[in-house]
Amino acid sequence: MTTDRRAFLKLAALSAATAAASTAGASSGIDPELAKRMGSGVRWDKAPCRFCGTGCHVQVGVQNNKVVAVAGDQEAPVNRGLLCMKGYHVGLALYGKDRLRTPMLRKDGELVPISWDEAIRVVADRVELDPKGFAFYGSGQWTIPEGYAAQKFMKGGIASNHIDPNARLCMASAVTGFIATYGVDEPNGCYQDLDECDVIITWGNNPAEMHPVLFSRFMDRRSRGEEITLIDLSTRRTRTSAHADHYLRFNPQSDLAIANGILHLLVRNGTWDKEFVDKHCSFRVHESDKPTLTGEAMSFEDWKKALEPYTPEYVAELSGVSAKDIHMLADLFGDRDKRITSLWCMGVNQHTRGTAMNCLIHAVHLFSGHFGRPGDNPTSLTGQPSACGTAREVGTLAHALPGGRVVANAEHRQQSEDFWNVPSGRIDPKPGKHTVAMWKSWSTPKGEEGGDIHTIWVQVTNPGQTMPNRNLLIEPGVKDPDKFLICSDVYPTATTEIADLVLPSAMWVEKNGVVGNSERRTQQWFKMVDPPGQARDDAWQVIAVARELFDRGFEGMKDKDGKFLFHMEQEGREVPVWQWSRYYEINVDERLFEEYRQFSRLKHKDLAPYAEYVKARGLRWPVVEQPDGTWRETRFRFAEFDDPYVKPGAKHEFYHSTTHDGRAQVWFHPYTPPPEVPDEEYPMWLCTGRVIEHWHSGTMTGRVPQLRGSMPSAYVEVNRQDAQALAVQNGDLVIVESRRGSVTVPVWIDGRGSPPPGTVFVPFFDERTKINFVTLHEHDPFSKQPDFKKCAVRLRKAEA
Amino acid sequence: MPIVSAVIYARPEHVGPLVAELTTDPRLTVAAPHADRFAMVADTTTRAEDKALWRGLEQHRDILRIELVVAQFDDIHPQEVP
Repeated sequence: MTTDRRAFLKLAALSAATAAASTAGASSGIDPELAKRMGSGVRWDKAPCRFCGTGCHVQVGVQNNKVVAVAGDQEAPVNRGLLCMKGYHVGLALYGKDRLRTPMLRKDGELVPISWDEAIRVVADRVELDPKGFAFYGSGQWTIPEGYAAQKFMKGGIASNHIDPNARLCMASAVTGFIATYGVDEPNGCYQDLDECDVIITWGNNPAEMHPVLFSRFMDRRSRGEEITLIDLSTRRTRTSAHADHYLRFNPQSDLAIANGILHLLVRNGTWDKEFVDKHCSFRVHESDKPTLTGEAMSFEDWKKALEPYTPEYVAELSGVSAKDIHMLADLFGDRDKRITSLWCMGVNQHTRGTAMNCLIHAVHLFSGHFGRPGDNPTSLTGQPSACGTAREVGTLAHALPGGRVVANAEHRQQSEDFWNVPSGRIDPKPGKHTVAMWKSWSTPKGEEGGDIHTIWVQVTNPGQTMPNRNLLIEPGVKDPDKFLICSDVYPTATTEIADLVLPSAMWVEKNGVVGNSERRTQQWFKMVDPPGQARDDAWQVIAVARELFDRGFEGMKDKDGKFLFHMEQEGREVPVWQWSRYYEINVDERLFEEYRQFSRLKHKDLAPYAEYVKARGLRWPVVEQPDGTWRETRFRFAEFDDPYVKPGAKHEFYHSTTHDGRAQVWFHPYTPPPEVPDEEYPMWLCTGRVIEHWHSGTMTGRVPQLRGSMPSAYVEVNRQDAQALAVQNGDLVIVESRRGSVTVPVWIDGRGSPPPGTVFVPFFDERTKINFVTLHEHDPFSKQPDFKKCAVRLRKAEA
Repeated sequence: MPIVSAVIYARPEHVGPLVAELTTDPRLTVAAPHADRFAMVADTTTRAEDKALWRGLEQHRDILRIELVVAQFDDIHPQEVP
């Protein structure tokens, strides 16, 4: 036995033990210094974890061109060496046996291997067929440079705005909530809030499973003896509820009523923060006809009057939360000595009133003055690793441009055209189709009204599994020979199953990357290992197609000087980065990032030079250069003590206010019932979501034996009372059926989560049980984000 | 030449001192603790030594429970070959 092999065996054994220790929650990984001392010959480098929006940093151990170990990064401010069970196994996600290794084109119904040259030509053919009918469906898991390349390709090259990310299913309501309230997207606070708050309120949020490292971060304070109150508002009992001081179960959709009830009592009790509101807030309501995101002014008197019906008793009737608990919440917000952090994620965002509910959480904090101090903020959490960085900041949404710009604004279009050096008028002023509209159009036969999207190129996401009401939005298109689906991915998925062209992609540390997490932290890593077979970077795929079009004379792929849209030079000579063999001759990520960085300064979201991110474990924007040449990040926006853009003496300033007076908007949004409610035919609520072991549709985590072993298949959580009525026991198969479709799943009673009578929960990670055949595609009118959290279903026992 | 790893559950108030104590044993590699537990790997020369080491750990006053994770006995020391 060689010393190296023995060291490697020790490291592997320690890895396994650390993983085992992690199954109880979050855990410390292996200390890279420890591994170095063990003399393993493993080379370590930093990278953010591939999975969720928390943005934990890991240390990645590489040996012989393979990731052999992963450790929590002790130097990372986000996770301080902790990782969750997904993070600990992130390295194994690269090595599933069925990685896609070669491009494949569907011929006579079968996917057959083809060359990259042919694949690139096929994509270019689809663009040339009708550029305006070509769409791009991306992801909050795109890196920033990848999303930027796709954005420029579509809006600056093809001159089409039909590009939208899966963040539309994830964070869109948070975006519209921030913009409607502050005039600019993304949280003012950061994770430091978790270290300094006295009270945490989780609004329909289950961080114990979905953001376990952040959950550990504040639960550790409790284990150290600090007093911290956790209030969990939820429609079902979860692992988070198990740790809560107050578990307040509410009826689906009634979160709006609860927020209004708190505001009502703050007014009635006179406990709102008069000074803060007088100086920093205005009141807002939607216009009665054609409501807009910016709404119209409302007097304080009218706003108070609108809240009058929301007495604790009325709210209790709507929500199921007792009047006493509504008083308790209002009293907490009325106490300014306490520091209160609100956390929310999909429960609020995946909501047909998602924009309204986001606005109301901000309203409760603003009106009560619980705003702007460390620990005292409304802190929206993100689902995906770069939903903020790529979808929101790069603006890969159908209406947006990088840096908080929008296509409908002529000045914004001109700024973008100038940065891209493309002719004026290149960018289409009309917003493109958002996710639901895009897929509906693709699924509508050519020639029928609304069926103009003929091709969608999907990267880094799996709509075949995650789109709501899948029968309506995806299935019909498959049968139409005029429609074409291109899918870049790392494994076979429910989307590659129906795709006409499959492109194998590099993932995570098989390529360079930059992402942006929930707390405005931009994080960078370098490529560490080669991708398998012919798998290649997503950004390269876009650039290669762009070049093919350029070579064919497609005008959109030329800039004003006739140069290639992705022209990159080194020492005065163009580097042909569209050739895979030359792609890593320069750092394409850095070039794209530096170009994109120009946009970031337009809306006070300043990014530092790429080199600063190489040195750091991420920096939170705005990152502003100091007189001594160093770069300073910002933890708390709109607060004079930390935000360089707040005028001296202002204390707080909302410098992107929609009313142009430095004020934030406190909205009135009434409670309205959801579009579909249980009835005699479909008498139960269905809620869907994630589980701790799996990331989204399980494409990656499903290939990790430890994670798949821990949670091998989907289930339906059923209340014991309902199970008795159905005469089913744990493990019995039941059919969960809605007006749109059905799935068959085993029953789990009193399992990890516990729904109340009349409610069931099904996770969406299992590709064999596509719960999105059952869900509803109704969406928020402003964010266009669908509601995956509530629709009406019925259960019946499956025949044995 | 066994390599054995495990999760060690310690008395919560004694985790720090226990990790410090175990770290002094050159046969042991100890990961940073989280709450009341930590991962550890033991590298010993013979099966007999391995057995004695773990028996001692089982009887340690500050260790509440040991969960074995990996036991690697593939490479038997020449002295142990039957």
